[in-house]
Amino acid sequence: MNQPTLVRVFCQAMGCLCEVYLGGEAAAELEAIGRNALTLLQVWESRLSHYIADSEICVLNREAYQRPVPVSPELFRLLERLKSLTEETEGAFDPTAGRLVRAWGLFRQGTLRGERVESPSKTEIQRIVQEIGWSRVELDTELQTVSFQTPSVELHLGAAGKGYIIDEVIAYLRQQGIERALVNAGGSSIAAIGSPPQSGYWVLGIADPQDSERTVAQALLCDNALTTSGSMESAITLSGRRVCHLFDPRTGEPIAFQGAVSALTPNALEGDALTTGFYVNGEAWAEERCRRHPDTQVLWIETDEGRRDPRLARYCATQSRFLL
Amino acid sequence: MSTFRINTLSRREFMQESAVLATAGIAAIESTSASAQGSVAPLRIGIIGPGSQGQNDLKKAIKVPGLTCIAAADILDLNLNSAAKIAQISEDSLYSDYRKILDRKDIDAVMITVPLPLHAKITIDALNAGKHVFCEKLMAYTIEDAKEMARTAKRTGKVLQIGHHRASSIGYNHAYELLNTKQVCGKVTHVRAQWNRNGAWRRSIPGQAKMLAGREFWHDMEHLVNWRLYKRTSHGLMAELGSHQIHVTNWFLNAVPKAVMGVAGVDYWKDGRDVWDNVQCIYEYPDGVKVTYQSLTTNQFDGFQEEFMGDKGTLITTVGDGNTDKGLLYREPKAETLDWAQFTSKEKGANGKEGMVLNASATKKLNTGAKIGETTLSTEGSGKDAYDLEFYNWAASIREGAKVFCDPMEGLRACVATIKANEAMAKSTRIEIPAHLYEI
Repeated sequence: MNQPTLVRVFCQAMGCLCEVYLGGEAAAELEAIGRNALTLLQVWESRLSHYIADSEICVLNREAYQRPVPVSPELFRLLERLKSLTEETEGAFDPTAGRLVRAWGLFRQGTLRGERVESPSKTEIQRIVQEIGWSRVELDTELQTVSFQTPSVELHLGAAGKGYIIDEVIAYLRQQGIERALVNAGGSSIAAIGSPPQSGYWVLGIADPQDSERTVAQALLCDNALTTSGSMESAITLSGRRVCHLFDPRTGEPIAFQGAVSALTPNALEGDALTTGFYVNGEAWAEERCRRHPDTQVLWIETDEGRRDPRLARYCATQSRFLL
Repeated sequence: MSTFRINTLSRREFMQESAVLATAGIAAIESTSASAQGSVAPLRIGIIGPGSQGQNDLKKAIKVPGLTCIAAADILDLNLNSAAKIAQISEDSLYSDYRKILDRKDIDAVMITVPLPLHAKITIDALNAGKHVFCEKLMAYTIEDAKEMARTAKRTGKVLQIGHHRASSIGYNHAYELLNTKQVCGKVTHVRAQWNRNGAWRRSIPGQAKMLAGREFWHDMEHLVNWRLYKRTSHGLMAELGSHQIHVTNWFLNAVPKAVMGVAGVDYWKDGRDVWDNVQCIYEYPDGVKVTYQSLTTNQFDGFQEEFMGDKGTLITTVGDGNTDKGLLYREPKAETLDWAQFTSKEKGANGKEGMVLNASATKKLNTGAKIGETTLSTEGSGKDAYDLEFYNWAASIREGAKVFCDPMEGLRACVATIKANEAMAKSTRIEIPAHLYEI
């Protein structure tokens, strides 16, 4: 009985380490498929990144207020899905709010750990909040064009781009006949095909948001995705207080909650959008969502600077695949 | 026998690679030197042009067992005095005319370390006089001269070795094996090489020196001492520095450039020189390989080194302190084969839970272009650097017919590439290098 080989390939992309783990028979063949997967991932990054000036997203952001911009069928479908995810999260996850991120001075590459940020003025924030949202974006299904009705709309896929790209990679791997795989983008978005041999699940450790060397729980993955929002890695200092880099797009204000939210979902795009929504909408909303959607499970991690161990809570309609 | 100290990761793998080396080029250098046996035929040589480089070469050459330097020729009296001191040459064997050395029947071979424009004439005269020759690089001032040197060596059957001494380097031979046999860089697609220094490259005129002959050619002491700075006598940085590295590139790629383009100028040291102080060129090798080369005199960043860049890694070769050869290998991100267990363990209690942590904060610090793996290759134990081995090899070639590590054809190839780069830079354009230039 042969144990299938496990091969890992990786690259730097989307501002983080991206890894593909592949299980199968021949290492050389797995490596070749893994390399193609990394290429696919980088190609998608070049289309969706904010930090690549000629990406489809950047072109859209530059031109869609002046005129309807034709976009690729893939991007059009992605925008439609994002729109429906905004609706599902009642506006808590909103990729049209790029201008808000910019107003808070968070629009740049690299780590923002502990960075001191000046609050933008209340009027400025209120103006932006009123001028953003999917109601200000016209998706013309007939012509496959996108236009913005206000100059404040700026699409920012930071919260969900990784998830979408990982799903694309997973689809490619399945197409190649891969039956065991794990795709990881920076630890915050992970998706799996199948499981390791003689094991029902991929066992992944969940890191303590305050101390990445510690694990506080485990997640069991099989044919689904694990996403996390709210790592303190990207926290900023605002009026002397460290806060998360996430904002409520409906009010324009940063979220007071400190900690992280991990979710197991059928795919990574949904996971990315939902964890952002959970973080913004709060614990009760997450609990309610999990009760109504058995395919979604949540691990709520609330940290307290005065306490070593975070408070953990699990929400799910069936048996939890988060182990404490 | 030389050994290699391998640092950092992949130690086991590199120990295996050094074992391969033991059967390759270096073993050949040592065995052909016959140094260990002690029973060596005497080899009497003369040196022509013991200037600064010639004196360095002479110090190395006389370390070869059985080799003695019994005569010297130079047109500067202080060079003759220095050579006499280094090799204990008697005063009546110091000449201002090199032909006096060629006439002596008791001299088997000559080292020719004169300025570039004189390489061809003296080498050809020496070979025709029945002497074996070591000639410093660049091989010749013109391509036709270099060809004539090679033809004369072939016709006379005498040894002609050109002074691209990296050919005799343990480290460089090791690197050649790594690149070509072990394919550690995968397919090499690009080479980046440079020799960057911060300095005028100007020699001070010795106050006490006396020019014994040759005034009609050199005019004055400045043009003799600083012959490297004037186009009439020099091909500048490309010849004096770049040709070493182009030689290595030709060697490592097993190829010669088919075109070259470039720009250059006297941009900083405007002191009357007409040889460029800033050269930048790009060579085109077969199979799409591009080689970028630069030599600066105003900034020494990264010093001198050659970087062989392939789809699996980058191998950097250089000569470090004390002429020890150094190599660095940077791997490109590479697939690893892993154990499944890290994804399946479920033991331990709270705060000590296992399972693979794919952690954002732990992994995001990998920067673009990060060193994925770095391995230092350095040599120890042999006590012989490339210059030493160069003359061991020369002696072995003369005595036993051993393969010359930098033979006339290798010298010609480096010479053509150098002169053509200068041509391209003089015109700031791209020029093709026809294949026949590399043939005699």
